[in-house]
Amino acid sequence: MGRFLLKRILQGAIVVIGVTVVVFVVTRLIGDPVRVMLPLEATAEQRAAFAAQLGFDRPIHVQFFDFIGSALRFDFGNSLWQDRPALEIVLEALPRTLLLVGASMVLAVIIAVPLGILTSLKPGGFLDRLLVTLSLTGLSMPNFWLGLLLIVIFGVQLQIFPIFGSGTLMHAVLPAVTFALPSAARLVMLTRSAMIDELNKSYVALVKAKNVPFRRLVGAHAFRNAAVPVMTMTGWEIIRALAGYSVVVETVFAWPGLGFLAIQSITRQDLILLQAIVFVVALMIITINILMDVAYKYIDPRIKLT
Amino acid sequence: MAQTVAAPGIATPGITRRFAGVVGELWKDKAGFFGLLVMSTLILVAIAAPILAPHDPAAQSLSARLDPPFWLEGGSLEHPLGTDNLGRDVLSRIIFGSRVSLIVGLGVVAIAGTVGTVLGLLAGYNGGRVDSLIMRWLDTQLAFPGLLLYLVILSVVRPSLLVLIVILPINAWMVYALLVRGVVLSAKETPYVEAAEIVGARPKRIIFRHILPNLAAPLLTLAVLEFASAILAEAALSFLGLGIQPPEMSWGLDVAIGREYVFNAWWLVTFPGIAIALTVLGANLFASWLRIVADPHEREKRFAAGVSMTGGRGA
Repeated sequence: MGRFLLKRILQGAIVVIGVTVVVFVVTRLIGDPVRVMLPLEATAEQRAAFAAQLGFDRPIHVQFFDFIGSALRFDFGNSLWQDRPALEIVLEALPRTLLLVGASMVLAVIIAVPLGILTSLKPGGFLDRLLVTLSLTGLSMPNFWLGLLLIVIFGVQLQIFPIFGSGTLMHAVLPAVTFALPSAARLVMLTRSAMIDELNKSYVALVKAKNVPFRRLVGAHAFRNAAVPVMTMTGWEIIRALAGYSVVVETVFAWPGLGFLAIQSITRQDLILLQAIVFVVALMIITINILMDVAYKYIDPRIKLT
Repeated sequence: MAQTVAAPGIATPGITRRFAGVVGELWKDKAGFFGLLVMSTLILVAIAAPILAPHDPAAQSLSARLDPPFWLEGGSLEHPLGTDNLGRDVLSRIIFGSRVSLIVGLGVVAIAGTVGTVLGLLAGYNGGRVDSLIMRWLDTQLAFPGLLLYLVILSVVRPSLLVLIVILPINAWMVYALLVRGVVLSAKETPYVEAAEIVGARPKRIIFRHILPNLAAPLLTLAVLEFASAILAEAALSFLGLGIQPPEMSWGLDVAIGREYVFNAWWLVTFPGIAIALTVLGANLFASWLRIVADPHEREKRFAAGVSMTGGRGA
């Protein structure tokens, strides 16, 4: 266990350094940070002064080691847009994203697991076909569009929920549902197929023969085994939400989390803030990955960690 | 070497019969047929856009701003799906927008598919150091926040159609490599590949002649699915303002324009969104049909199910 953790943390560290290197290469070598961050009408003197102020005029290898070093110390510099430490801004937005993602994953699991179990009991039946069709349709919708549809229906037509910003708990409902629905659709399909697999296994016949009530057979025996892939998938859904969907969904609802902040940092031409966001998100994803691996061990003792 | 002799003469009628068989089978699976229908419509619409579109998609008209669709009060058949904030015809914009989706989808699949397949073949067939190098790289990149990487690139490079086609494969190649490697690894263990090796066939021949045919079906299915996800990615990036830039046209971009008018013109976000969702749904349905039809094991299962369902003798 200890060796496994050490190995995974080392792997994680490689990824974090990799992310930092890629960000450096893209922003400093492919793009010109001075041109990106200053308005087009800036004079040559302004550009030179700006470059000197942020150290872009130094040799590239000096910049590189400085960049890596300060990233590992969580020192990204001041955001150009808000003129305060970028990390501070990121850490303010982070809980809002975590709240949204957390709430939506709870919602997705609550919706998906019972439905997935229900459909698995009668594959090919009416309910099964209906839910599979619904899930496929739901998965085909782009999530920004799903969000906008919810805004049109529940915000504009029915006027039940506020549609932009954050503030009250009501503000979180529509964005959380937008996150949750596609995840729920994927989880329904997965729970269904995992349960069908389990119910066809021979131990189920034994349990049946022992006259165990059907409800107990499904809940206590089959689902306990099917839960492993379902939990893996939920972990992946969280990662997906943090690493990608949050940008789109939060922008649709102007929810002031990390994703919306990333888009704002691009429109405000604030590369420093964007770098801080990418670094923090990468760190979170790696942490979740490691936690997932450890959680396996506890759910399924057959799994050996190497 | 005997199998190479059975060739041209017999192949032609076999192919036509096989084609007829495939169409017949497709008609039986309504969802798969719908998927094929949607995908062929997309291609046709994209090619024939100038003929099909009732208006110039970029033509602005101040007198016809925010006209609703024809079935609502104030709408007319002049603009069947209404007009946007500048009086541009929504239907024509959707018709022309299909071109971007198709090009991005095909371009990304072509690049990512080629790179992923080559790397997957290398890793799977060679094994050893090449394999562990490629797999290490994959593991590392899989832990990488994909969309954020796009954002970093798009913050310094001015986004365009070409840029999207080049950067989307940066993440998309991985699934192909994983799939190909898996198939190659299992094909390598089969008796016929071992036999070919014993007979002394060169690696190139083994890969192309014996292993690649195993890949055709799963790769095709994956390509169709990835076609759909490339379209979704383009739409999302364009929606965020980091993809196709005006005056170019794209469904995602049109949804973004419509977003400003959700309060009084719901059709602006609705119709381009339906176009995206329908295309993606079509590709997904077509892929799930392909997966079953192209896989002999799945076909057998389905056949068995069909027999037992019709109250037959099989079960």
